[in-house]
Amino acid sequence: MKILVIEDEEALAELTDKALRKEGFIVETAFDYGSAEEKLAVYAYDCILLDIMLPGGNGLDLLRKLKERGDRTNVIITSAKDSIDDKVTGLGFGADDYLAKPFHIAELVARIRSVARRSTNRGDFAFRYGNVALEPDSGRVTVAGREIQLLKKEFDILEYFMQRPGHIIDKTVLAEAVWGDHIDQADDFQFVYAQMKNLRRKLTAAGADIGIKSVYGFGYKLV
Amino acid sequence: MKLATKIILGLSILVFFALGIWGAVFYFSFMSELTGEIDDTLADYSNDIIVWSLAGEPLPYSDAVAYNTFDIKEVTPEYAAANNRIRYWESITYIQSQDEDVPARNRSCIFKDADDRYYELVVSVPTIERDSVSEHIIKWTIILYIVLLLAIIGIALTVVRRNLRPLDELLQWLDAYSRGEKPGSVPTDRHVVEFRKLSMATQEAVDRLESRNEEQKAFIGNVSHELQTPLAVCTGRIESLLSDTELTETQTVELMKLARSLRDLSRLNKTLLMLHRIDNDRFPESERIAFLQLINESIGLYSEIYASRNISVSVRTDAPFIYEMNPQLAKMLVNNLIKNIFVHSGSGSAAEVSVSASGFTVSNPGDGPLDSGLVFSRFYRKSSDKDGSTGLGLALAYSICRSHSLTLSYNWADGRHCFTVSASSVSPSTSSGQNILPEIK
Repeated sequence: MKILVIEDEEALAELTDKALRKEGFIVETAFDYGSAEEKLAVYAYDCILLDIMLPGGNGLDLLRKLKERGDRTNVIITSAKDSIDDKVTGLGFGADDYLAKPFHIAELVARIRSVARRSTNRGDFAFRYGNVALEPDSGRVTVAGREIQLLKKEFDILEYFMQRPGHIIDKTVLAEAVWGDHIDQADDFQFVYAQMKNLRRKLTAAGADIGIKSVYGFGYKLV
Repeated sequence: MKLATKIILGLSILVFFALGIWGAVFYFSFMSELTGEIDDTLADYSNDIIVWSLAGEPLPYSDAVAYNTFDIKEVTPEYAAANNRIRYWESITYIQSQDEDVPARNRSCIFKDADDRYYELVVSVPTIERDSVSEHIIKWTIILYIVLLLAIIGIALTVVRRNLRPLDELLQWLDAYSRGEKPGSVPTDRHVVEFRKLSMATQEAVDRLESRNEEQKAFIGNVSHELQTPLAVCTGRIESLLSDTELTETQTVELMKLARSLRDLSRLNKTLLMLHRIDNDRFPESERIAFLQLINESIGLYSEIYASRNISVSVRTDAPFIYEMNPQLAKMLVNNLIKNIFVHSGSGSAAEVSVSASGFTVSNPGDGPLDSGLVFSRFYRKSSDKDGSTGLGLALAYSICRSHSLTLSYNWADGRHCFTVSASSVSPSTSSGQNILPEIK
């Protein structure tokens, strides 16, 4: 899968590049409007990560031109502006997703996978790892084909892990992702432990060959 | 003392003395003129009598019309030599024609007849009329004096008030401005040079202040905006390091600690950015928010997160509070206040939220009152606060309220912290859409 990263911040571009390569993608980067336009005219990509504020032009213009050509490449907008206007405009122009900076690389990878999955295999949105499949749209989780019942929070936790298999997830990050942006470092994480315990029990009982492992008391990892 | 009062007082004192002196001078010069006239009459009269007496004509008994009287008596040459001059004096004299003692003016002179005998002539004229004129003059001078004084003060008061009106307007504007309202442009008076200058100077000072303020806000906004990317890069690098399988446990733990600190920094930065955006009205969408529902959701959320602290929150509803505002900010406001309860109450304590038609109050037990002047300022923290709290939560809540014409106030009652959000006197839930941001903006 070939990805074009359009990002003027070199450090961020390099980091994204490195992380995506590690995930097995083929990555190219463009640092400004001109070179991005050039690359898009010459090569075809499966997915484009598009920054809005670019030297030499606005990323949204690039998106509009792309869509005017009838190009069906997936576009994920990454912007530091984090304003609803940009998000609405971007998605209105035909972007597939919107990710506000600063973002976690794992989140980005999950979004790319999700977007790619949607365009290549319409209808099947499930995340699969081991013998577990999770369908975000219908809220169904199956272990080896048999459906198991999860509560809302348990489902959210599992979904978060399924999008980032093999990554260490800090429990504060998990808490923020599932309970919303209301968590402080000072908070105790009893509520995470409680949900985690139930989720693990349900997965084991259903005979899943994956499990959520605790890592050094700091976080978890889906293995 | 007000400027107008000071001017009027100064003017009154000046007029009081000036008119007083003028009245006195007028009275005394008028009276001396009157007395002079009487003296002239007396002189003419005594000359007539002397002429008649020397000519041997019969002397009139008295002047029937003017009630003048006279008296001639012979005196020794020595007496005449010692008193040979004309004297005037005032006395109470018996006037025969009136048969009573009345105030009179007298004139005495010495004359000599053909036989070298000396006579002293004393003529008297009653001064009742002069005295009554004098009384009238005193009365009317005083009346004139008082009327003039009042008229001058009245006129001065009107003129001063009218002319100082631009100054009053300017002061009222400044009062409103320093209360934190935005009363529009500085009132200008185009006619008076001094006021025009004052208005211009004020406008310049206010503009300068505003632009500094804007610059400062923009600076904070830009800094937090610019910090986003490097923060994201740092977090990303740590994440990528963490997925390295060759790391030892100690290294992983250190990296995770570093990542947490970075996340705190990032959260702080996001909150500052959020404050900046609220202050710049970057949340134009608004809808009718049922706060009761938000409050219940928020309590549910935090009861779950802080389940281990065993804090109970009761909700008392008199009427649902419905207000037109941005949904994202409304949620943030409620969450910040409800979270405060859970973070700052002791384990097992009971908190309360009461909702009425005009707002809601969140109260929880505490150890002692907070500094109400500082509680909504950025980075206000009590020493007992835990690490990881940004000290921006209430500042954020305050900013949200201010940007939506709500009032957020704090008070300490019966050992409880009470935070009250209330709508301004006009109920905005009845007005529609965007016009809930009135001129106070």
